[in-house]
Amino acid sequence: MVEVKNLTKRYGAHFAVDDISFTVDDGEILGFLGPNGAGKTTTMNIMTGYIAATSGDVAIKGVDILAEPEKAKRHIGYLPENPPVYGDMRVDEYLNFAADIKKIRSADRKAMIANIKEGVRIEDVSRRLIKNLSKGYRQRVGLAQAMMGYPDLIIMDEPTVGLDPKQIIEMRDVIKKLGKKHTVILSSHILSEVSAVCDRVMIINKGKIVASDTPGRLSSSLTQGSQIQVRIKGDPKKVEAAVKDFPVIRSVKADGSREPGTCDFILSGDEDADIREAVFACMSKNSLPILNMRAMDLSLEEIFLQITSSEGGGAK
Amino acid sequence: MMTIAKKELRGYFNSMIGFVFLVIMLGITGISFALFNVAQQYGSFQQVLSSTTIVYLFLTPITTMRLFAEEARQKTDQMLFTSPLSIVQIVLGKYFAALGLILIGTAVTIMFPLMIARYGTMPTGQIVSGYIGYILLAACYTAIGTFISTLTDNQIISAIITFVVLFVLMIFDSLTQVIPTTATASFIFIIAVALAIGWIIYNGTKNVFAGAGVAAVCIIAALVCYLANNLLFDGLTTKVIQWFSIMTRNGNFFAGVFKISDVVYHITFAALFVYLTVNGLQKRRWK
Repeated sequence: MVEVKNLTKRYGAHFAVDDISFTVDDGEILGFLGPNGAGKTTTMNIMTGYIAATSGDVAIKGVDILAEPEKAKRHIGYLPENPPVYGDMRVDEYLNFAADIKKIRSADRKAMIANIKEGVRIEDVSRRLIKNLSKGYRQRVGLAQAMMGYPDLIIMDEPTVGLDPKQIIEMRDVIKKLGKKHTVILSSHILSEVSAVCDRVMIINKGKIVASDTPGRLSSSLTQGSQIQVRIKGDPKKVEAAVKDFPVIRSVKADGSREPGTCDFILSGDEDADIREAVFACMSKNSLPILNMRAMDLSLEEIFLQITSSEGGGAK
Repeated sequence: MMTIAKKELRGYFNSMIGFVFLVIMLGITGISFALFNVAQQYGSFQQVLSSTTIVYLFLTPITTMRLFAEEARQKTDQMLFTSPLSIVQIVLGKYFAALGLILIGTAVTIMFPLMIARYGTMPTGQIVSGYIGYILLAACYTAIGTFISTLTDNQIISAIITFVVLFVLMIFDSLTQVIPTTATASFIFIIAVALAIGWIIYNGTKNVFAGAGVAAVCIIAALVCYLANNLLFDGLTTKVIQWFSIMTRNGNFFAGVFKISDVVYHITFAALFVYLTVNGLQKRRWK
């Protein structure tokens, strides 16, 4: 669907995007993840033909965005960070304008606009001036514009920024629904959002792709061995001594005390080894009650920090 | 193109600008008409038309300032430039919308000569010639304003620069009285023009050889002429400026002198600025 090859965008000596290549398959939901200023927006602006790259190519469905912009742009719906809405238009007027510039035949137009309005739930504001709408509604009107003409590829730059929690959940549902019919690329610096909706995550930092995988595999590839966190009632010294009898448990690390009379530990075993039963046996033998036990997968936040703080990052 | 033009025209009347524009334009034309034609019983309407073109100085910036500047500020240009419309279509749509607003006002002013016509014979040819000049001047000014609107994302700055440029164009003629007329001065002027042309070509094509080549050929040609017969260069700057002066040429229409060359000049002038607008926007999408 999308093929990006050796894309570079330079502003003077600063590389906003530094030689990135990737492909997006049909029907995939791809998330760009990265801190502010990582090059997400620049990449999206180049992919949509809004600005040109310094070097490199972007092809949408095999059509080069710079060589045949009008043809390539037919396949793209773009929702930039600030929804590109005209404050002095009414919602219906705006959507008609969007249909106009996307060259939607007037026969299909009415049904399409009605359908899209239903999809993003803006039917109740049809007659209102866009400048009087809340940020959440504006964002949805912007999305409606991007969906106009049902393009094969929908690109969204930080679609949930500035929305309240309820609107974020609604927006996520809309994106998931979109992903069933369209290829979707979205960017975000909120990780939970990306892991909730995306099939694949690409972490971008300083203009480079530092990791690209499914959210699940990204977190497992970065967890060293199998780690579990336990909360145990009793004396910490007794725990450390008890663990010594169980060689499956490679190491034990105290993790402070969060409840009176208890202490937390991080226990780790060999990679792929499940040490939970051993931990139970060990503690019950020494009559140390286990109050909590949970597997320590790195959350995306931790992966993100780990990758973006270490130069270049190791997980590819 | 029509889509954009329609949207812009609707935008003018959604945001008061259209009404303010029409009120000022028709108000001033109406007052001039009342003063000259009615109160002083002066029969020539094209004189009124001619004197009201000065209003364009501040009316054109009002109509063109928002065309691209406002889109850039609101980031709505992202929608236009990522849509399947070509840049030419977008620019022409906006240009003709701004010009269309002026044409709406112009159409209303036709009632003034028609009123005069009731009390005598109307010099139809002169009136028509005057109107052609009036509209062509608007076409040129609007093209300049459209171009300047792409240079900034601030409407006010866009309007002020447009005003200044139009003002300079208007007093361009008077420049001829203060510039030196010696052959050497003219020669230097020609070299400067050659360099400017070379730079424009380079800017448009991104081809160093084309730009430098054209400039070099012009300079060499000028040098040969200068060495062969430097009398040719006497007062040349003045002649060139007068030839290029839009005000001199535009004045012809109102004086009842209708020359095809003046029409061609105006259209070329407007087309040049529309081209610069398209080119400037397209360049952002170049490697």
